[in-house]
Amino acid sequence: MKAFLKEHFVLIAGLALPIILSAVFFVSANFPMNPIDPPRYKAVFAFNYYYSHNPEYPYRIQISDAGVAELHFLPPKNEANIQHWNLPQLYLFDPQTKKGQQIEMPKIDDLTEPSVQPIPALEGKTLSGLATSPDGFIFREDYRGGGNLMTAIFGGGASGGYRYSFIKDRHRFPIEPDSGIYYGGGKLIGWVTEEKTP
Amino acid sequence: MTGAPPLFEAKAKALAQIGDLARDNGITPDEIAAYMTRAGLQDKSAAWLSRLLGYIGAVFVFGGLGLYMAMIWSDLGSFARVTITFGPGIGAFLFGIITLKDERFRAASTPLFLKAAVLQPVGMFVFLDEYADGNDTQLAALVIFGILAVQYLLCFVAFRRTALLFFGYLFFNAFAGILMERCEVDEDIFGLGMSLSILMVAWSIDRSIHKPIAAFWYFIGGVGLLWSVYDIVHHSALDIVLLPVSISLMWVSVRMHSRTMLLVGTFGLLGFLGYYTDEYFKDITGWPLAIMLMGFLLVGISYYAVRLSHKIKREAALAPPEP
Repeated sequence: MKAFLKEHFVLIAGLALPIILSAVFFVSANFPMNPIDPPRYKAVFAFNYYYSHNPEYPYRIQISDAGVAELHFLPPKNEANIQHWNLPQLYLFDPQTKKGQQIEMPKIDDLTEPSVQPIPALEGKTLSGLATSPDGFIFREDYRGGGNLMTAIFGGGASGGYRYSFIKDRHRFPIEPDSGIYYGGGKLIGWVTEEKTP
Repeated sequence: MTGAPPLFEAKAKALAQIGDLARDNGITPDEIAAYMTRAGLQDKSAAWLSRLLGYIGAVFVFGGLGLYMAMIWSDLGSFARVTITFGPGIGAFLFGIITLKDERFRAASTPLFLKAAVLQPVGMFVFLDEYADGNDTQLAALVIFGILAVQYLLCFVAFRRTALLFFGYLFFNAFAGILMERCEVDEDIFGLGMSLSILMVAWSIDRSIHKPIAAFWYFIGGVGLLWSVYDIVHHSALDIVLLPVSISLMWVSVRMHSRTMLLVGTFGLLGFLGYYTDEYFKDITGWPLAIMLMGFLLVGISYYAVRLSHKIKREAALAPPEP
């Protein structure tokens, strides 16, 4: 056995290398050295919200002084341009289920007049617009690139795409929206700090 | 590995006898080579047509099967879809194994394994698509390629056929790559790890009787390594690392008598020179001089590569393969 290992050391090392790398990354991702408590607060975040800093963009999701999430609509100067702007998609992340569920946006009846409407699905929830949650997490969008030659050949065709997670002290808690997010533009709206139970 | 294998000793003895006969009868090496070439051509001329027709026939059978599947696909139920894809695949694999038992049909085993290696995974994907829940195609691919890697590599251990090793290792790499992707191995480490792994295995294959497939894996591993290193270091202060990496591939090519690695290493070196001059010397007045300098370097490297290639060819012809 020892002679076999010695004679075929390069072969065994070559076959074992990808398996060992997978094991190392799997263990480091799932069994961190200094585990911390997972996020406790629900969070509201938006996707397809790239143009939130563009003054022409007609939609804004804002948190009022009372902590209520609202959809602000400001009609564009040229009314026909409204077709060019996408309504952002809103998601509520629940740390219990570790899933992000899409919530419905209020309907804007009159596209010619400015309006402010609360988001019905978030009724009874008080939000904080701070970047950091009360338990110290931040929201992060990062792009896992299209990869390189080897990931393209052997990666199973799933490389690339946006990933969303909550980060604290270099610990990452991934968010899995209930539908695919292909185009990015993710942004945290706020953390649910209080919730009235019906 | 010590000592030459018996086959190599027998060959050396035969060559010595041919040398003695040639000396005694005043026959030159050129005359021997010309005779051997003529004899070889005569042998092959009779066989090439039937072989060509055989290959064309196989392509027609395979193409016809594919077309037939496409035409009746929508009319088929789940079981029929699995049967029509996986059935010919596993059938071809079993036939391939059976042909290994009979010396007369052994040459048919490789095309049969090739057909099986295409149809079996297709059939397994169809099976999962028809009968399994969920839409995680990457997980499906992980399971399928894992099963196929085990199947082909176990059969390779039993029958020692190079085709089985090639497809078994191909499926293993597909399995290992998807596993690394699912474990979220960093892209750069993925590229480096996978390339080094392939190069190490290719090195081991090259030292065995299965060395005809080593060149393919040297090519994949070498290009993958250069590409991965470039992805990591380009536009950074560490980009000079590309130079020793390319040179080390050339060194490995000499060490392993691999002209494929020499090709990859040479193109890596040329690519590095192009990148480096473009990165650091493009906007200065010496750019035309740099281009000329690069031209001289290209000529020099090409000359050196050709010399190395001849040396590798000579040494590879003399080196005995390990069993």
